[in-house]
Amino acid sequence: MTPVIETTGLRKIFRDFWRRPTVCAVDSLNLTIQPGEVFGLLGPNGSGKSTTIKMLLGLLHPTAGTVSVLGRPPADIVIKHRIGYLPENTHLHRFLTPRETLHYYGALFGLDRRTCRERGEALLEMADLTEVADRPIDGFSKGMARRVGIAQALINAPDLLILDEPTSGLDPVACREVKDLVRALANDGMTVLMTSHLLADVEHVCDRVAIMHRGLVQAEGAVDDLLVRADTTRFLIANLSDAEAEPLRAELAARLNRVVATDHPTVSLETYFLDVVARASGKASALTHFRPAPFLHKTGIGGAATESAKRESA
Amino acid sequence: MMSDRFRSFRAIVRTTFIEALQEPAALLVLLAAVLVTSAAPLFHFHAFGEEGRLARDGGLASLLVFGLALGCAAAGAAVHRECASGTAAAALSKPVGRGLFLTAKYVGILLVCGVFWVAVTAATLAAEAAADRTVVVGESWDRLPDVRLRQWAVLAPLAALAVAGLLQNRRRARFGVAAFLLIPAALLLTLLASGFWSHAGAWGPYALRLNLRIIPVALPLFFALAVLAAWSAALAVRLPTGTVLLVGAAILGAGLAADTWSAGAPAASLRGVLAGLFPNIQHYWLADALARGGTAPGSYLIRAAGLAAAGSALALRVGVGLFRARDIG
Repeated sequence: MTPVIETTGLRKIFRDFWRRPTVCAVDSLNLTIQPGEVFGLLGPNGSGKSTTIKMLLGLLHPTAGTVSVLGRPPADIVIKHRIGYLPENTHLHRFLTPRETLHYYGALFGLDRRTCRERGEALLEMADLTEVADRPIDGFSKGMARRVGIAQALINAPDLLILDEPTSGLDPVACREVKDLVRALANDGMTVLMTSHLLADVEHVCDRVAIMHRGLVQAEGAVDDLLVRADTTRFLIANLSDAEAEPLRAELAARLNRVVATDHPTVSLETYFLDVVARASGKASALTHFRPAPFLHKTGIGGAATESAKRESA
Repeated sequence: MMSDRFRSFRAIVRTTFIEALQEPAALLVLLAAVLVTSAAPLFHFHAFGEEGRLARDGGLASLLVFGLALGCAAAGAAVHRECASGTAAAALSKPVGRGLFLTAKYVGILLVCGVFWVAVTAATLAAEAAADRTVVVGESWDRLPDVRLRQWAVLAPLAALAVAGLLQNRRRARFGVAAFLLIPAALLLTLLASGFWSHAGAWGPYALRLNLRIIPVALPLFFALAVLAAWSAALAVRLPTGTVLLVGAAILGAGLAADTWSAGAPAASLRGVLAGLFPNIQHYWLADALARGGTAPGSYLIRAAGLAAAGSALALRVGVGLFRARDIG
C-alpha cells in the first residue's frame, strides 16, 4: 500500500536575512503514514512539529531530504485538493463571517457556489456555529474561531486531514468532541496527522505517534506498544471489597515471591468532568455536536471517495 | 463551465478588495483626496482667470499622490500582512499556486484603485465645473463660481458616510466597504444632478456642463497607479508595508524625473536599462494637453495602457519569483 505521507532524511534549517543559519528546526526526519491511520506528532513547543507540517504542505522549502504526500511532491497543487489543513493558530480573515469563510475556502478548492453552500451549512451545523454564522469572526472567542478553523479544514471532504494543535483553545467538552470527530473520520477511511503537546488528546485518538524534541524524532510507534509496561501484569476484578482483596494479595505475594499491589482503577479527569457537566445540564451526555457532516462519509453518494476518484481520473 | 482556478482567483480578489476597504486608512485617504479636490478651489487666490485649470490640475495631482499612498499601502498590507498573519499560509495550503495568489491579490488592489480613480475623477470634474466662470447676470456679466455644485460636491461624500452608517446599523453592512463604494456613487449622482441648473444657479432644462476631456487625461494616471501597485505587491512579498511605501515613493520620484536622468541614454547602457524598468510617470501625466484645449488621443491611451500592462507584468513576474522562493510560515 502506498503511504499517504513519506519523508526521508527531511531537514529544515532556518536562515536570517543574510542567509546565515539560525536554527535547525527539523533534522533527519523519516516518517511513514499509511492510509486510514491517525498519526500523532508530539513534542514540546519548538520541537519542529509545525515546521514538519508546513514542509508537508509545501509552505516551507526543505533544506534537505525528500517528501512525498499522496504519492507526489508537496509543491504539486493537484494533491492539495485532497488535503484538509487546520493551522496551529486559527488564521482566518477576521472581517468575514463563518459562512463567508467557508464559502471562501470552498471557492479556493474550486467548489461551485451550490456545493459551497450545502457543505458550508452542513459544517456550520456540525461545528455548532449556525447561530453565529453571520457574525464577523472578529468578535469570536478563541474556541469559536477554532471551530470555524476545523470546519474550513473539512470543506473539501479531504482524504488527508492535517490538524496542527486541533484542541488548542477549546474547552474540555469541545476537546472531547473534536477527538471523537477525528476518530469518526478515521473510521470512515480518512488519514489524519495531528500534532499536540497535550498528551491525553493524542493518547485517546492516535494509532501511532512520533515524539519529537529539538527537531529529532526521539521515539516512534503504536501508542499501545509505547505505553504498555510488559514487565507488569494487572488483574481487574469487579465488585471485590478491600477485605476480600487483601488475603488474595498476600497469597499471590507469598506464592510468587514478588511485590503485589492492589488499587482501585480511576476514570480520567476528562470523563469525570463530562459526567459532571452532563448531570448539571440534566442530559444523558455533555457531548452533542461535532458529528461528521453527511458529505464527509466517504462511502456516501457524492462523498469524498467519489470526488477524489474523479480528480485522480481527471 | 467556470474553472476551479477562476473560482479561486475570484474568491481571493473579492476577499482582498473587502479587506483593503475595511482598513480605516483606505477610507481616510479617499476622503482626503476627494475633499481636497472639491474644497481646494475655495482657497485659490490670485488665479488670474485660471480657476478651472487650477481645480483640474489639483484634482489630477490628488489622484496621483493620494492614489500612490493608497495603492502602495493597500498592496503592501494585503500581501505582507497576509504572509505575517498566516492567512496566506492557510490559502496556499489549498490548491492555489503562489503565482495565482499574488496576481489575484494585485487585481483586488487594482479594483480598489479603480474605485478611488472614479471618485477622485468625479470630484475633479465637479471642481472644474464649479470653478469661477464668466456668466451673464441680468444685463451685465460677472465671474462667478457654481456655488451649489461646489457645496454639493463637498457634502456628497459626507452624505455617503451617513448612508453607510445607516446601512451598517440597519443591514449589518460593512461600514468601510459601503462608504468607499458610496462616495463615488454620491459624487457621480451630484455630477448628473448638476445638469439641472446653470452655472449661475438658475434651474432650467437639463444640460450637462462637464469637461469630459478630463476623463481621458485622468485615465493614464490610473495606469500609473496600476504599475506602482504592481511593484508594491511584488516588493511586499519580502518587505514590510512601511518600507514598501518608501520604495514606492522613491519609484514615483524617479519616475517623475525620468525624462531628466534618462534623456539620450543608449538602450544598452545602465541608464537605458533603468529607464526601461522604472515607470516613467511623465508618460502618464497629460494635464498640459487640457490647458491647450486638447485631450489624450485614443491611440496614445492604448499605448499607455500597453506600457502599464507590460510594466505591471514585469513587476508581478519579479514578485512571483520572490514569492516562490520564500518560506511561508
